[in-house]
Amino acid sequence: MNFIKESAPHLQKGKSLGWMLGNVLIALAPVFIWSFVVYPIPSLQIYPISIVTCLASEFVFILITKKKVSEFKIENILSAIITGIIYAMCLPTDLSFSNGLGYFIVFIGALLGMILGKLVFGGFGNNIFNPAALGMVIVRAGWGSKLGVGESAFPDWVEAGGTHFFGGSFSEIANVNLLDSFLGRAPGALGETFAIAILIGLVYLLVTKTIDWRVVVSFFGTFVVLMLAAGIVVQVKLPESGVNAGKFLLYQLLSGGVLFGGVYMMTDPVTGPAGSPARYIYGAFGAIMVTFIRLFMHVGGVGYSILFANLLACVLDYPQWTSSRWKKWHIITLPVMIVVALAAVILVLVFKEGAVA
Amino acid sequence: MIAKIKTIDKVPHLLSSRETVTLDAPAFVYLTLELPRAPKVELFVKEGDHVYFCQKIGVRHGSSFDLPIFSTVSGQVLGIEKHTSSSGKPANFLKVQNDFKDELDPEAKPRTAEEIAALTKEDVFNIVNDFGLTGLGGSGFPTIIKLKSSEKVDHILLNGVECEPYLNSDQTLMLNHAKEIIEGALILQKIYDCKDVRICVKGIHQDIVDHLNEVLAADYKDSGVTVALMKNFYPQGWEVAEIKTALNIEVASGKLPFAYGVLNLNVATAMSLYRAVALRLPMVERYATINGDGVAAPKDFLVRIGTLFTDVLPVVGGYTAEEGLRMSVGGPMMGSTVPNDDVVFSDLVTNVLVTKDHTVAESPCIRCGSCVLSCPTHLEPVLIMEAVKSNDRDRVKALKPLSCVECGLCTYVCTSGIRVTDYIRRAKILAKL
Repeated sequence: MNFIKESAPHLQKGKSLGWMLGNVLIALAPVFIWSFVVYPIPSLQIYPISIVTCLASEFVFILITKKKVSEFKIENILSAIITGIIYAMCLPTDLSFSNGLGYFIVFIGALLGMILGKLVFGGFGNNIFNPAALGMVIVRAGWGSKLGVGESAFPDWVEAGGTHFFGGSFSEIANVNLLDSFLGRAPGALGETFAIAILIGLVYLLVTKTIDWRVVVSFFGTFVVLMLAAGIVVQVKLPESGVNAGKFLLYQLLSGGVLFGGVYMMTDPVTGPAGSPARYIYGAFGAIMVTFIRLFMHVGGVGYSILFANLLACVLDYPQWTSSRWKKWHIITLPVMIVVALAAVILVLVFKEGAVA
Repeated sequence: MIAKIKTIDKVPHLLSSRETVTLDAPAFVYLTLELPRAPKVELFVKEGDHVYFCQKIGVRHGSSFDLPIFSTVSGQVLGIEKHTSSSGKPANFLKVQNDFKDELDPEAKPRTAEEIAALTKEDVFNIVNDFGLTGLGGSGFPTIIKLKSSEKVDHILLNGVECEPYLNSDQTLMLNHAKEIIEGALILQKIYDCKDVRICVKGIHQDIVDHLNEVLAADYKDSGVTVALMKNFYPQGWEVAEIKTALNIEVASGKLPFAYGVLNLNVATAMSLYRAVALRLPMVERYATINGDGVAAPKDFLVRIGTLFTDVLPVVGGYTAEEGLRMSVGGPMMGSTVPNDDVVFSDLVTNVLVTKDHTVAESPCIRCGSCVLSCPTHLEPVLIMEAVKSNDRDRVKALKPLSCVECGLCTYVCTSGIRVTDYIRRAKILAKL
């Protein structure tokens, strides 16, 4: 009797790819459900277009490249759905749907995000950019004026620069009701405002080990350090505004897409680096970019920051530099990066005229 | 799952037991002739000759050492036959018909305690050379080279970790032959003037630890031989991991333990040293397992070296399928498959695995990094795989694949079911070009 050849090892823990992708969907579920409860009409308008576009573009890509329908596998379906949902959740709820432009914006962002962010690189597993973030950024760049802050489902919300865009001045933060922000009773994008739902998702992703905690820790850790420093400067420079460092920090965490992007987008392993020290640097870099864009340009910048971090991931995986253990350059780079960013934040906010208002 | 994974889960298609069946010596034994390390064979006997049990009947010449061939039965030499070696390649074996008398070679007289006590380091080296002792942990590396390159020895470790799942021949050996193993260690202790001897056993094998401690307390008090408890992870038995756990010494990649004053031998090798020195006998039997859902009744055996696998097959109830089976020699993590079952139980065969198809279909890599987190040699298998796929030799070299020990964990942990270890093997070839 002849035996089948098989290289060692002869044991495998078993594939958990479908399980991991399923976990991301489960982790998105609280946000998804909440968005339907709070914004039923926009949800019905945005999600179907976004998800169907992503699925269809993935399907056509598989047909073109693999020429077999059977190659459209469960992981392709799940990842396309995830991209569709995450992209939809990044969109504001007050797209102008009356003249049809809103539908087109949702469609074109999803399509371009999938094609330029993922499919041109070879599809699932080969992408450099997070397709949802890229889609969102394209839509913002092309049709920014058509995208509002997000029509509030809560008329009593005090419009203080909104949660979606960080557009207002620092002193207005004093008027923000943080509890409302935390409970999602605030205007913003479809899925970005519901802090509790996102945190539930985060815990689920961490417990099931679907995402790497290193990225989460370094992203939010760096963000907290920088924003706390910024908050202290603001508190000192604007004593009469009533903004204290703690409130400033919490506002920064709860407004816009930081929480959502940090939990669901930065942690996408495909677009992050593979080495574990590199993952700390990757997370910290993303947080530094968000901080800079927010503080210096007074706009929301999570989408751009994630794309910049995605680019850095390729550099971090450069074969001559990468290592699974902490090398000297990792040990030096990470703190130096954070300290330089910290100095930049403090110096700009303290000395630049009008930086704090 | 993005996680550092260091333990191998139990699977239903493999059995783990430690109940050993002693097999009768077979009617014919097949003695390994040429070895990859020692390809030139010189036989002292010819077809039709009578040979004694344990008689030296030939020698294989290596570059700087000789590896003799011993008959593991008494009987008549029948000639040379081709069979499958444990690496899966066809090889020559000397067929000896067993007369079932086990007539011992008259030259194989035990040494007295005084004679053993009088042996110098040189004498022991000569004995090791005469008996061609090799590493029985699976490498088959000539022990004499290891002994000679160890000049100053501060610690002697006996490796009984056996960290691959479903292997238990070393465990059985330690339970049944503790004294011979310890005696072997004492010989090393004396010639290297090194008091510190540690038998490395996984702490989860409480029965072995207790047994060794009992034997040591009863007969070897203050001998300096102790039991070192090993952790329950894979690959704890890899000598770098073993030395780290036992002595907290970090052996750098590319360096050998003797550079750190450590002499590390498998427990079975220590026993073979004792047999050679004290009894003037080679190893003639070994504990081995036939495991997997490809055979009806997997079992552990004490088997005469040179037994043909197919002679043992009836004892495990034959195959469970007509086709589609995989057969590999060695542990489930590192063993290599063989093309047919014409395999001989040589001194290095601890385990034969016959299984049905349990491979996982591959999906695209999502760079989850579990292979990076789990790799015991701190490589980044996912990046090596990407470099191999793009056939970029400089990129492959920069990722240093040559320090890979092929433990198989990267394939084992892969969330996409990719056989990552295969890519690392290809990377090693690319890096050597």
